[in-house]
Amino acid sequence: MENFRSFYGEHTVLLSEDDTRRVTVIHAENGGGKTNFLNAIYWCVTGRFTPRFNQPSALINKTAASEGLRQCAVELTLKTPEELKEIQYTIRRTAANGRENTLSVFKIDAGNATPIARPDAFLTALFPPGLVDWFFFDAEAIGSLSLSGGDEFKRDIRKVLGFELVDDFLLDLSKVIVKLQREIGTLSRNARIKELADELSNVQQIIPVIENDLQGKRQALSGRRSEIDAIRAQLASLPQSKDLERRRVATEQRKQRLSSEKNRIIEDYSQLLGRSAPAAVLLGLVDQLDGKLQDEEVKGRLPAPYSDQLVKDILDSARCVCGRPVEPDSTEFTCITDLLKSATTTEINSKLSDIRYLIRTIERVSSEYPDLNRTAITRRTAVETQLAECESELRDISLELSKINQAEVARLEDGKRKLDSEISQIERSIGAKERELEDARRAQSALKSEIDNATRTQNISKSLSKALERAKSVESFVKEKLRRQESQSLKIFQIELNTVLQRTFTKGYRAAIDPRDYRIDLFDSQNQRVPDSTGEGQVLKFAFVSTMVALAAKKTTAKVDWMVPPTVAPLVLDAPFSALDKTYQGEVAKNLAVQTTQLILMISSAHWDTAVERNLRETTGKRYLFISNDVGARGDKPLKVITIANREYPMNIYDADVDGSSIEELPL
Amino acid sequence: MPPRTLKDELIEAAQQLELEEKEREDAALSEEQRKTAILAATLIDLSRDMRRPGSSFSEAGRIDRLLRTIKEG
Repeated sequence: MENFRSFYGEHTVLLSEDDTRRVTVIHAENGGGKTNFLNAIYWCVTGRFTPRFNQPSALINKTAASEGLRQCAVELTLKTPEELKEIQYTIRRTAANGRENTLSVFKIDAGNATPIARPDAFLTALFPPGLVDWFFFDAEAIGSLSLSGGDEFKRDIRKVLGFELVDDFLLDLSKVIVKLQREIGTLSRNARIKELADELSNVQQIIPVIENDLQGKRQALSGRRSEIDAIRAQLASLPQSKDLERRRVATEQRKQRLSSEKNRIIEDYSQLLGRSAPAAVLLGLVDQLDGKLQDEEVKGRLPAPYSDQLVKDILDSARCVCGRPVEPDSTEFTCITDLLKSATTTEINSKLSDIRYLIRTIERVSSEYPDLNRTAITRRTAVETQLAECESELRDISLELSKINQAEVARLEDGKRKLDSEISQIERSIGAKERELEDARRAQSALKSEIDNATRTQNISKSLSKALERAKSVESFVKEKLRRQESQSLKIFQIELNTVLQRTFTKGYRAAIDPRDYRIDLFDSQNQRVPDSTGEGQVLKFAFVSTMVALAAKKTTAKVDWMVPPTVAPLVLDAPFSALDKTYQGEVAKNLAVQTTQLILMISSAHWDTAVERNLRETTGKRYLFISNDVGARGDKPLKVITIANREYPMNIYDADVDGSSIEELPL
Repeated sequence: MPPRTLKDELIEAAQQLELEEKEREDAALSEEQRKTAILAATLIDLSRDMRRPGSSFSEAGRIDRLLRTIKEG
């Protein structure tokens, strides 16, 4: 770092690269430079700052600025595996007063430094925007990390695990197949195939555009929701508004529950219609059928006055019921035998019985339908009424908040209303975009099918035919392997996550991952869901991050044979334990150290307790102390000291040459 | 012998899962499928390399390269 924030002059921090001692611990008090250090790395890699970083425009160290220096810089050296060897890259980002920041990236190979042509794209590929916050974060960020699943969350995880790269490959392959089909169309002079292939190619171009657009909208939605959360947190803290905000939270929770109930009622009603509607429709026809069973073609047979058994008995006994003999081949014999044609049989009786049962069932179901329908409508009306009451209450609360004679509250509430409106608009446009995507995918499927059918009937060269077959075989193979790997990795993830939790908790908690949206829930021994905001919920978040890193780095007990190696990055955590229950800090520290490939932990003395120290002792490869420097005299100000391995180190210095942070490497 | 803990069971489950998956994969592969698997791995690596930042391949170039590899078998 060169004159970056509180760090005057040039400072180099060598992070531990030792495989067995992969933790770098940085001790610093609040204000000692931890957040600046985290942001040095974050900014260097992304060009952005973490949410808690104050005054992001003031990057140049104040003392340096007062000496006339107009520039600061951060340089990060990293190693990444490429083509079976490790390649070193140096990333350098500078900020200068009144000028654009500059970014340069160099590849260092056998002592030669080659500049990377598009450094922004390089960094985006190495640290995808949606993922970097998983690897570099502070305590507040872990609090806001949500494991509630969803499209974006699922996409981020799939990106970390390398599945998105396989998706990209499948996209390329589908275009290869279209190209082959187009060649076939040209060579076989089949204009229709070529036309379909062109159409398919167009649709394939459109789909990623729609997907990007959709992703942008979802990110915008997520951003707006975060802004609203921030506003609500502020409203909840202001004396004039906190009660109203509390009421609003309770009402919204109630509204959420009622909405879920309404959805359940709608689903139940659909099922009711599914069961009962056919019966209601058939009821009119059933009356006619019932009538027909009594007469017409079944007259004389249903109910027949006699069964086939009676006729057989007469023929067997060779004597009629009136007593006259019935000799074989006699006139009486022929007459009696003819009676079989109109006798009822066991099968006919059974079928008749079945038909009558069906008729009764249809009548019963359709007779029950009106009452069930009325009940469903009543339930739905009741829930909708309560929902309307909630909406009304929320509007009243908003109105009350905006009337509060306090500019800040009114401003916040006004801001929230605007955001609510924007969110509604974005949600509507997301809905439309999702439908557009669905239509495009359906069109793609239909075109592929049509091309396959058309191609099958063509006389095409053997080599082209083989190439097409190969491409399709690879496509099927990769799709199936991806599906299995995704399923397998989720199962392994869940097992590993529960192994970590089992080490941390004394009681029987367990985590479950929903494969549909990757939502992760924690359940206690009574099978009750544990909220995110509890100590146990926070532990789950740490366990999630470290398990994901471990899975990607093949550090789990069961391993996935990845088609594409996942993203493996170091974890850089600023004051991670400040949001964590003291009971769990030691074990969480140990899990993080064991499961990650490289861990940089910034900890204040308040969280450097016996358990944490003990659990990190065997895995710490480098240790630093950030010391607060104050040019002023000490006077009555406190002198803070930290004890590490039974030695005391001062954490602040007075009468220093310059204000700011200095760095001292400590023995292990 | 100490009693089996939940941790032991979890480890065993993980190992069993990995083993079953491997066995399923191996058993399922005929000669033709083995060739497909090798070709798939080659193509995926090629696609990944061509998409690396700093790579000079355009989308059209990528598709052509993959197509050539498939035709070569």
